[in-house]
Amino acid sequence: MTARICFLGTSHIAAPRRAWTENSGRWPGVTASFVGGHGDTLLQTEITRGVMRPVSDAARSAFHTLSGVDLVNLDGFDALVLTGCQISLSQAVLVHKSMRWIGLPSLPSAANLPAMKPALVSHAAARASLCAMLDDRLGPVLARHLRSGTNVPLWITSQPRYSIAAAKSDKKHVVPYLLARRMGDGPAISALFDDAAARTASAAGATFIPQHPGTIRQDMFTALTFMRGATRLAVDPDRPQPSNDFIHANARYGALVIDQVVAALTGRAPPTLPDMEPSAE
Amino acid sequence: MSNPYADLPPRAFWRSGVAMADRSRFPGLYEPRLTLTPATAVATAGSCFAQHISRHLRRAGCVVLDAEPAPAVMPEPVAQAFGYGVFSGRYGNIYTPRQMRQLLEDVLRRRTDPRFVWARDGAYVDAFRPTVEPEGHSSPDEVLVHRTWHLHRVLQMLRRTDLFVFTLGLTECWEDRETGRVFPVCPGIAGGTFNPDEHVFRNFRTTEIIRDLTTIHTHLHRFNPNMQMLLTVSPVPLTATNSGDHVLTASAASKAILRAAADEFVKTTPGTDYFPAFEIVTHPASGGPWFEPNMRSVSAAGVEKVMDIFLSAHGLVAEPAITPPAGPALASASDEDEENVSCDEVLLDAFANHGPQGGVAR
Repeated sequence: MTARICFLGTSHIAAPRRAWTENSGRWPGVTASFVGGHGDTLLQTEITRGVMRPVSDAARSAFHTLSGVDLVNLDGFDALVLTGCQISLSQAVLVHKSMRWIGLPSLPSAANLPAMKPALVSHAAARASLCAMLDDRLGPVLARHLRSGTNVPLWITSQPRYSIAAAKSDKKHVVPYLLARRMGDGPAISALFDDAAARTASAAGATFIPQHPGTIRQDMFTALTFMRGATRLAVDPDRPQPSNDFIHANARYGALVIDQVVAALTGRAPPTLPDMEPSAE
Repeated sequence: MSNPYADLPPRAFWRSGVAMADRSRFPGLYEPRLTLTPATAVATAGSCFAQHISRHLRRAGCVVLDAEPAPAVMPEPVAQAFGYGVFSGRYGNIYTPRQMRQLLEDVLRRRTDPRFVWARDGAYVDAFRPTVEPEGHSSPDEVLVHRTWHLHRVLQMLRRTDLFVFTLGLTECWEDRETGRVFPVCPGIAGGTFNPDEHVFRNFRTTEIIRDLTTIHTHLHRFNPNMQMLLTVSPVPLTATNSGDHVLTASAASKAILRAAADEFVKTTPGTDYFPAFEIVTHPASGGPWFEPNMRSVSAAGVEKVMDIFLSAHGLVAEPAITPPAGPALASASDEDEENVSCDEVLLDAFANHGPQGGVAR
């Protein structure tokens, strides 16, 4: 099988890029290109006859300095993979912060329900809220932008969940995660996210690739194995990440993302993780 | 020579009150008997036209209560689709006084009944507000839990209400033969299964409407003894009638009955008032036409006119509606249908057998 894959994305694109750089032989018959840009620079482009060109100085600079290209011939690929484009579990955690639905382990008994502070909503309302929130994120917006100029199959990958190391953090944005985990709602939030992300991607003309289940810890976090030595998109790709970077994953994680994409393209199940370290996390 | 008409104000005469009047503002058409200030806690309920009242009151800075506000992160189009923020409770359209009375009695008694859970497309909905959950719930028990939550929240809201605004929509409805409970839409339209042995068509008469309004008034005072009640009649005609009459005459009869009942009730009940939205929209003297090309939906200009007259009579002014700027790529668009008004009754139109000219084939 041969497959030409183009990864487009934000800082999270660095993980699969490094995986590819370090061991492209893992994927025989596959060629991979990587085009990244911070923020919404990838939207500052126009697509004509299947070719994406930057239309702003910021986008031109991103194409040139971060990816070494001036344009992207989208139609020359078999798959376009949008990576790390704000499709994150954090949106589902936000939903959980202000609403609850039947089926959550934390839901009070019927007698105590009226005193519950978050609103009781239907599961469908929670999911619709999350879908609408995700729909405004970069992934689906970029997918629609690309879809307007090319028919190449599109995939959207999940951003990695926060590092399990964040569970010991007192950072404000981690607190809702910890509360949800303590309440036992992590599995339901995680399931809601994967469901909503898949629906949102589909509506944008793309297919969602959820986070590899073998990388997930306690439903809401990513195993340290895949976060230690994290990498992110930068002019200097060797610059070490700060030790408290809970958000970005490493090349090992990136390799699994490529595995998932290749599996999706070939219709095969992604490989399991026989070489993963036993978790002490 | 003296006579009773000699000292009447200009509003009492057709020529000065209508023909020669400033019909853009219609001075004297509505002289409020009730107090409405920005500090008044207002609750709204009724047919689809009532949604405009909530929206404009909010724009005028009034306190429009919301028993079940949409969660903070719920995007507005989702909130609207799931019935949040449309009225002061997530009760959906309340077309008849009987339906309103029934809701208040459910609130007072905290009554839920598993018989009134409707199946729909593999899901389950509350028979008394079947459209607030577009995708339904996964089990009948879930419907009942949500109804209990709803009734509790409405109770809390009604206890805080100073002014209850109720828009009368229809006289026709469908009733459960065994219990006498009425539905906002015919079983089989938005859920459930129509069964002629179980479901009875009702077309309420004037005396029944007055009786229900009186009971509503009594119930409202059980939540707050000082609560005032403002009635309007929706100018929106029926989507369909089961009366056997032509839908135009059925609409006229229905509105006439509601209007007569409102008049009788308000004239005999202290602490109540009537606002003539129906007259402003439907009477040729007010200009217009104030309907969309379907001759049913009230145009945005018509709504503006009605609400300008209402608010200015209370010394209030609505701020212009804020139109979100046309967003770049990151904004999401939603279809606008009848100025985003939710109307369950429109569902009936799906069952019409429209002929080639757009008429209904007989």
